[in-house]
Amino acid sequence: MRNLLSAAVIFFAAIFQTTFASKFGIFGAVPNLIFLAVLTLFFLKNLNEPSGSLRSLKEGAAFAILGGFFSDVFSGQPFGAAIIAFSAAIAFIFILMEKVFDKKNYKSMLAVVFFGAIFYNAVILFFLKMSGSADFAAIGSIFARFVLKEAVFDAVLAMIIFTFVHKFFGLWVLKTPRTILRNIN
Amino acid sequence: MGQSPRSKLSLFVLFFAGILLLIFLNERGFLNSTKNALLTVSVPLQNVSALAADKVNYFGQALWEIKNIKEENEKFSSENLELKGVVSGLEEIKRENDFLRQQLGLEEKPDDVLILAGVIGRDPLTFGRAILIDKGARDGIREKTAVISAGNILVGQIIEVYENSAKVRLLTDISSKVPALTQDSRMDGLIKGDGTASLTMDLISKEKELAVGERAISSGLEGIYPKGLLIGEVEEVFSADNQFFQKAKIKAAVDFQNLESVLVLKKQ
Repeated sequence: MRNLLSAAVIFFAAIFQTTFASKFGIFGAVPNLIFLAVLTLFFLKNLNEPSGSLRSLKEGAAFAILGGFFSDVFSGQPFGAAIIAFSAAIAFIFILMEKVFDKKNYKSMLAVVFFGAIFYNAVILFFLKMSGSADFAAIGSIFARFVLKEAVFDAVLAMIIFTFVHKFFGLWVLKTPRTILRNIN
Repeated sequence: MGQSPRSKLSLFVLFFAGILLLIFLNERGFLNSTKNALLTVSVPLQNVSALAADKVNYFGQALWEIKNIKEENEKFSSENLELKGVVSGLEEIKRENDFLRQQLGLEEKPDDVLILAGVIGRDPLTFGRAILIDKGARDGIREKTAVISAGNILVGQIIEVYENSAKVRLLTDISSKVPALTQDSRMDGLIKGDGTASLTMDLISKEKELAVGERAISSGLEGIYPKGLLIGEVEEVFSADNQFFQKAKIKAAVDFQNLESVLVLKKQ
């Protein structure tokens, strides 16, 4: 049931991404609601754990595959680019939380969203380069024009979403890396 | 109990193999039914959501542009009058053309059928330039057909077709390449997208000089896009002594961001 609900959240995020979000870009960049939905679910409190530990990396990977699949279905880019990018971004975010940000607070979460969004787009662009869909000049121009702006946009929106989810649903808590590691082991 | 590094590595390999398998299955078309089912469910939802997004967008734009509406209205009225004159001239030419064709015993070239489709979704990637339309295989839409907007302006091509929807790659997408021709100087080139609203025309010979304001049209060389569809106007020309070709920045004739409906060319 919980998995179905998570899939539904990502699916509706994809619907809103392709209809609403794309209409309301700022300076040419639009927020990535699918990415934010995947991250929010990844940061949700594990309901089976009374201690309120964060979700496991395996669950994060499942959300990443779902988010990537929906992105690929609606995107005009080669299939698989978003699945790989989402999975790599979740792994990257996990490493950031484990190795770089020792304190789990809003600031570190926003930094994780910002760098995660950049990493996600970098992986997609790398995939496009490898598949021959784009050359280096186009990739450089896209990075400068869209990716950094999107990362800022995502971080700002994440602040609102995380605050809302945390305050009204009380579903996610910020824990130390040790708790996260214990959860995946 | 923690997992050993070896089992973690095998899990990672298994996960990566799973992703590669998904890509392979998609290449072979085994995921088509899954994608079709997903899009069948999502199309009605996207229709409703896209309509709501358009209304909110209109409201915002109307508030923003309220001052310019009267001025624009006057401009369009005068343009309308001019165009009426052009249309009546073209009707005369068509009549004359039909008569001469009849006299020479030439068969009339069948017109392409146009399928009107609504835009119900856009690429979820911030730099992706693809749209989803509400017409698909059951309406006779096929892959690799040209998509235009009112006024014979080229928009892109169909890249994927589902039962009740289809994906269109816009000219502005980074992987879009269209063989093109400048209308006055008759110079060939390749128009490429870079994710922004403007296009780049590359591989233009340096034989002649391009003029700013000149129109770029599809040359029909690739076979997907018919010849003569308007793409845009030359905005800036780049020519250097140490380069074999000149380049031009093309201002697209269509506003890709606010496309609400398009026409798909169905060849007879």
